[in-house]
Amino acid sequence: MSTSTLERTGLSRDGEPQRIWNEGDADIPAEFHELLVRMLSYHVENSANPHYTDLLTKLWDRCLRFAPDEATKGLLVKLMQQEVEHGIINAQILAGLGVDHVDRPIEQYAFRHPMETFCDLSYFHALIDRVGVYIGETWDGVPYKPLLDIATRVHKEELFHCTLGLRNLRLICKTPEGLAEANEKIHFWWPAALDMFGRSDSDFGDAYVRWGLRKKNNADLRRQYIADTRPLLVDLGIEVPPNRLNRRFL
Amino acid sequence: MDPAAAGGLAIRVTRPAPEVAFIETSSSAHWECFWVAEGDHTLVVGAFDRGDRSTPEPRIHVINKPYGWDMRPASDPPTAGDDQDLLVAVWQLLSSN
Repeated sequence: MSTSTLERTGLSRDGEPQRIWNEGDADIPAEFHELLVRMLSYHVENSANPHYTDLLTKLWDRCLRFAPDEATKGLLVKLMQQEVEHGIINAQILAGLGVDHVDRPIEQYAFRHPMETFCDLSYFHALIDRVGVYIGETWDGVPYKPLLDIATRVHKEELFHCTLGLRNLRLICKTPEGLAEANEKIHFWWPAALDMFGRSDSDFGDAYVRWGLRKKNNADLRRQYIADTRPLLVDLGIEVPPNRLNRRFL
Repeated sequence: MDPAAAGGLAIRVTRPAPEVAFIETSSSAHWECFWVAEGDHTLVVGAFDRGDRSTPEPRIHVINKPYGWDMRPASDPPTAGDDQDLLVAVWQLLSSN
């Protein structure tokens, strides 16, 4: 057994020291390994999945064409560079778990929505990237060392992305025309963001919590997201629709 | 609600001089502070995140001042939006260094 496999931090729910597994450990529990692979294979940011490359290509195009000024373009380019790196990191961690290739179309419909304006792009960063802060990249408690090593960095970069999206929405909402567009498009982006959390009764959500892959289940995370995010949009003058309106998953 | 909160992220900025700012960010999962000092040609940015296992030490970055750098707030007194602008600019700087 390597030194790293003996590394322990914190306590598990039964009060025992929390075991941290490392890449290549032979005694990773089968259920934990299966959930790790499932979580990372479903994770959108994955350069081993050609569908993510397609998404990045679309986003690069929108960032370069829709940025309203050069300073914003520079910020968006930095964001995109980090998105590419996140995909590479995820692919490398998956390879360490024995998965070299994923061919999984991106299921969440928010990623397939045509982004026609800077307002769409800003909602995408402010609301869809923000979901990653809650559900996709909260790995600081995961008992798997490769994820622990990158958790803080990736989480902070996602904070940058959604804060930038909010900043860009603020620019848009300064004009009456911009605010009108934001008030129209919120009817797609708000339910799409809430649907990103999946079904409230998902069995996998609870299993993820049990193994430390998440801290809360889908419903709790969605509630927290709503409580944090709705006031930010209202503060910009945006009329946010009811949380259950136009939803596809509850 | 904290007017500077951004999705669970609170941003507090103090500006003791036009060329100096101290930025504190916090959320339920994260706390980090930065300070920025602007010279004619150089920026110095300090950063410290006590919860970051990968970079637990305080860091100092000495950076050639980017063309067009302007850390002065657009409003007087500064708004939450001005604070947000400065934070994303600092994040952009540090991700390159």
